Amino acid sequence: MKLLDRLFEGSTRRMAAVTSRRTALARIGSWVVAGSALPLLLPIDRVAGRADAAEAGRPGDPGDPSKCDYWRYCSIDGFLCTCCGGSINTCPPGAEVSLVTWVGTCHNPADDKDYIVAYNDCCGKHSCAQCACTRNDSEQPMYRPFNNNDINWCLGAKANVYNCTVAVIRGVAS
Amino acid sequence: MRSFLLGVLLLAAVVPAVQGRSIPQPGQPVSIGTTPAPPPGGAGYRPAVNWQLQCAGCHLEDGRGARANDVPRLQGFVGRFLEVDGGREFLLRVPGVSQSALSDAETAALLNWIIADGMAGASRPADFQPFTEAEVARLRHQALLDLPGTRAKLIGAIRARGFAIEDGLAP
Repeated sequence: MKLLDRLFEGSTRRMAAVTSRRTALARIGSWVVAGSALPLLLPIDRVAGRADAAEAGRPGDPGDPSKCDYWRYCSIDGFLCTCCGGSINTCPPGAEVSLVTWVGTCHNPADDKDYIVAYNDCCGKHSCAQCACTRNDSEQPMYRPFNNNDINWCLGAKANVYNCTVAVIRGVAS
Repeated sequence: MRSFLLGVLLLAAVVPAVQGRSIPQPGQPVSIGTTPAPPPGGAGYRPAVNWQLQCAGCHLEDGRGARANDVPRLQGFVGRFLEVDGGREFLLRVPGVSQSALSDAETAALLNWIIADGMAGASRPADFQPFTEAEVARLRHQALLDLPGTRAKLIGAIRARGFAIEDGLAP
């Protein structure tokens, strides 16, 4: 303790002897001001603190394709192939895509356009049971079977066992 | 103690059913920036888009149909129905047309697009008269009671006219 006392006393006396106190205060003050202003002035990516900071995705294609709230899944009812070893538009290995399917529209918030999305089912393997999503934005009741997602669309594949669902963009709805 | 055990058993029996009912996460947020989907009829889409939304799921994008599911081929054949008596009415009364979510005007435009804009191909009759909104309105509400029978009769008539039956279903 004594050592620390002596050290600080010595350095303080030396500082007082060598510099003018006003200069020192002015310099320290200007460094404090500049130092606190610097992060505000520098071109730093400041997204991290905002509410949409968690939003993943590429420019023009916002959202996480392995989450139910991804924009292309606005009318999906089933398991996401992105969680089952496939991708947003490919079936998992070993599963067969059913060509017969149903088609809806989803709104892309990035460019404010409605896209035609086909919800092809992947079939022939056991139910994937990962990322179950039910969202029915442009779905129609069962009496319009071609616009209904409660149907097992694996009816168009060789094996009718349902595995998961992809969301393929077919064009812009306009 | 017994009632406690019974309670636990009851819960164990009920919980999976409740979870099964709400299997997609209850309270799941809507998609980012989503807007209510426009009603299928009256959305003002082009016939090509309405084809995608109402027909292409089963008839497939190019209209080749799906043999395995008895979905007939339209590509290069559907115009033949206009060559025989009752064929024009048949096209307006098949379930996919009459029960579609499209308005009468949109349905007429879509049928004209199918026949005249390439999908019907060479099967388009030379003297094709476009479908009208009033015609669709008049015919789509007359239920087709015997779909397979009516279709078989028409296919027979088309065959009798000497056209090949390329509907993808003929043996």
